[in-house]
Amino acid sequence: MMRNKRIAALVMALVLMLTALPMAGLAEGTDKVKLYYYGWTDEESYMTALINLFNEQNADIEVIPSFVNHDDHNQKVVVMVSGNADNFDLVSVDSLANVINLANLGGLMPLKDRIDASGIDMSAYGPIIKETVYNDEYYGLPYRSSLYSLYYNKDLFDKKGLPYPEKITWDEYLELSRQLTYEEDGVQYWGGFIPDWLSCPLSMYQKNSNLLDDDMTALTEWMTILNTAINVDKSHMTFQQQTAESIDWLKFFCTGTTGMLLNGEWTISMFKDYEAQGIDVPNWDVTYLPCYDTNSDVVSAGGLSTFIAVGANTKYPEEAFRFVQFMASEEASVYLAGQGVLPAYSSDAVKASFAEAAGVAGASTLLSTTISLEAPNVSGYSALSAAYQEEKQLYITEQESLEEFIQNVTDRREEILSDY
Amino acid sequence: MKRLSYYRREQIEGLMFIMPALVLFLVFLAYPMVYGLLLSFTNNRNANAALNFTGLSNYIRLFTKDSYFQVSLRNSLVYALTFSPAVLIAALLVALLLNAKIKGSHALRVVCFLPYLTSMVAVATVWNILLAPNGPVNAILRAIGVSNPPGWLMDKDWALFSVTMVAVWKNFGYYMIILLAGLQGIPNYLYESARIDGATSAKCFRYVTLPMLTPTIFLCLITIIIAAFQEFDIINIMTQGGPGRATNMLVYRIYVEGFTNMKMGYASAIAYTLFAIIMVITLIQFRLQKVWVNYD
Amino acid sequence: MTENRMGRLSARRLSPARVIRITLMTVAFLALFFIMAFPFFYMLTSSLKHDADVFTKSVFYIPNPPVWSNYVRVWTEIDFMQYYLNTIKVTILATAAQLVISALAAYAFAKMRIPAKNFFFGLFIATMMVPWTAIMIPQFVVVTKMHLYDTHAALILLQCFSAFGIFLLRQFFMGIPNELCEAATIDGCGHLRIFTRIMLPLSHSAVSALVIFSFIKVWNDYMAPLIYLQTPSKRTVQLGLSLFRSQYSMEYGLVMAGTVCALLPMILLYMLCEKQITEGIAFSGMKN
Repeated sequence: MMRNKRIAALVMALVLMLTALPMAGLAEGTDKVKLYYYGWTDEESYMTALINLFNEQNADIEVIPSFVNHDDHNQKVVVMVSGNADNFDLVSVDSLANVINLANLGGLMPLKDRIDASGIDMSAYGPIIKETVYNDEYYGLPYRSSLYSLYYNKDLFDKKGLPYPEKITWDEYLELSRQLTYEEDGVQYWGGFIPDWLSCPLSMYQKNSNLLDDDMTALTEWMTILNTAINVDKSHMTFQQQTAESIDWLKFFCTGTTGMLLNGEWTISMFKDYEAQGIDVPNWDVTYLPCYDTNSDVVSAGGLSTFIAVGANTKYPEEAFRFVQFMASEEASVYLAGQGVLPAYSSDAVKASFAEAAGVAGASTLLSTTISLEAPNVSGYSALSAAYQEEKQLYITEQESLEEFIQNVTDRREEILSDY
Repeated sequence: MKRLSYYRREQIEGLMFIMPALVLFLVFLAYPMVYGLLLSFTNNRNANAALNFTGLSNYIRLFTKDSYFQVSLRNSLVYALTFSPAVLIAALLVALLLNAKIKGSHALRVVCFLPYLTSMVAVATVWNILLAPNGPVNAILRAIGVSNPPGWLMDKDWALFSVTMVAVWKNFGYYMIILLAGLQGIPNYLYESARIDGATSAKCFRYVTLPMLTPTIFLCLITIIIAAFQEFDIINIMTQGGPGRATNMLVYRIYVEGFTNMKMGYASAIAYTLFAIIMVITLIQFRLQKVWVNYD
Repeated sequence: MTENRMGRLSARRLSPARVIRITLMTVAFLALFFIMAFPFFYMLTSSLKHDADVFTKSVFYIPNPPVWSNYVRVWTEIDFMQYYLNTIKVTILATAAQLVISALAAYAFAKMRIPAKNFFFGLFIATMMVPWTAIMIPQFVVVTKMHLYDTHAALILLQCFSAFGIFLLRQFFMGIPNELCEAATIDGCGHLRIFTRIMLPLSHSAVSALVIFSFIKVWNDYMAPLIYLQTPSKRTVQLGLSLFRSQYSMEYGLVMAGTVCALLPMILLYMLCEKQITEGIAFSGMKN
């Protein structure tokens, strides 16, 4: 009996010790309505500013932000939504695909009725806003827009006496890359740089095609462009070298050894960040993505990229929607544009603010490009894109022939889409 | 009568000893595990919504129509079967080598453990440089006459082997510590009596060290195999399953299906298939325990 | 065994064969040292480089003068001190609790009678075989229902149960001869006293190993703090380090500096405990 008592005492002590741990959870509401917002660290600077602005303008609401690393943000949100977490009021979602995913999990509040009632001017987003409707509902409002462009180093063009590109074709792009690739004083200069993680088949969208297309011509053309640039002309760094040297695309461009760079609009705000930190940024400018026909409007892949959404189980739907309205307003968009971030909302004030913030002549090209939705509103597209990335890696590193690539992509696409 | 109540009391006492562990297990692990298993029989996208049972359809699709699953299953098996003996032998050899109080063995033991502690990001960067197609390792290979050295991490035929190599390098220090602890658990009087009987150091190793070490080796083997099937970090940071699908393994697949493709039901099915495989292998090992493990 | 080897070594003269053998062993040791330690030193030197130099200069480049600003930035740009303290608190509590709970259970599995002992042990081992991704969400539901969201208590409780710890200690306890326990019982000791007075001291090497492993596992845990914490002031070190990685880029020098700072307690702990693991125990008085 003594033994049992001793053991029972030990077990009790253990349980007490564990339960006596501080149990403070989230702060309880006082008189202000507290809304909890979840975002990622790349957006922290301007989201915090916008949230502060909103809190000032709305004395009865306090939005409390929380930021995590971008790569893990989605996972955290999925767990919270699936686990029916309390205090899940506002969230930034990084793509339309994820908005749809979260909506399918039942985690987001449908917004259509409130949008109609509030009179938000949806035409400011352009016709592409219709692509964000899912099951006849809006599950989030976009506040950022995304597209790919051609960024270039003016000094390297000057050095070779080449004119700055404005609207060029893919063939001209490859030719310029060849001319800008040379070695001097032991330093290798590259004509262009295409990061290995770039998963968007850029030229396909200009032929009105994407990965879902049964006709593989556009895809073959894109792969040929990549192969020519990387393996034939050797004017772009190979994927092997990018991995071996852990090349960071932006830092590499800033070493001034790359003539051109195909990348997204986030490049502009990142350049501005570097300048603010005192890091040397080369003399850069931006122009339209290379295309097939310089006589018509250039089409770039991209779309409405970042959305603000409301949690389905929020206790304060009215107040939460007021924040959504704020993010969709011209005031917020002008602020974003002033940070070098391309907003979804388009107006003259926004365009002026963005052009001024970017500080380069080519900024207007981002505002006048036709955007084609990179990831169509189709279930299974992200799995398809991942499969394409994997096969592309094998083809570009010359471990697979073009025929094998086409065959594999076709087979795997059939398998993936059959499940949805 | 007296003996029975003593027996009973011992049993209750035994239960009390495992009670804290049992309570924690029931609350935080048993319920999620059972729930996860149920989820694998649904086509749920949300892990927490009402369960929509679809019977064995997930499992059937896994084994008949999912080429991805077959690739990752093969990779996981190959990886586990190469990683496990390699890391166990490496850990054992180094533990035996460094057990002696030779000058420098203390420093070396610390150094052998460093890879385990080093951040995966730093490990990935350094090994990418070392194993680059034109990197130091290939330079050495060419110097000794190998005409066409492999592409290692970028080569679809060598990527899995390269990952295994890095994993062994990173992890053997961990198991080395367990084995070192095990070596210390061998009482000296056994060696003394063996010496008195005239045994050489080789005989000492074979008849004293090795048998007394078997419980520890058994622990290591079980843990290593389980860990091999659950390897995620290296894949996630070094190769992301590539090139192509050469290093795509089951655990990575579960993550992608669950959080990127948002098919929790299907992800659970993969998870529990993996569980079943590990369970079978472990059970076989536990049965074999009687043959070679010495608990005297 | 150790004295044996050393004794024999010093007894012989230095013949050429021995010289070659010692040289080979030294070379092997040095090679091993280099292969093991090189990435770690790379981490150290990277943390002292300007971000621009990390990949442009050679792998062997040692920065001169070293750029200490990376370390300064780690501690000033984010609330690293707070994260450090949080992690120390969570790790020490979790490790202590895990040790006690695992040791008690391990002793019971090794030396005591429990109804359906193998069944319970099997259940515990089974928990090692389920990938955490699969149980992450139901576990989250349990934790939030207990109102433990955004608390350190959640992190500690989730780490208290360690099937590996139970397994490790059980193997060691099973290796301790039953005669010792029986002798103690005859002397009137109950199980608890056998446990504390005999079992634990005799397995201090295994216990030390478990302390190190548990500490490292809790300290390096990233996913649980990511999911269960929200208030910035409650973050742990791993979560703090992730703030330096952005969507399209990473400040390598800064991340390495932060990682080195995060590593120090583990290395210190290992160096402290290492002696415990590799010291022998004298069994001299036990020849009854």
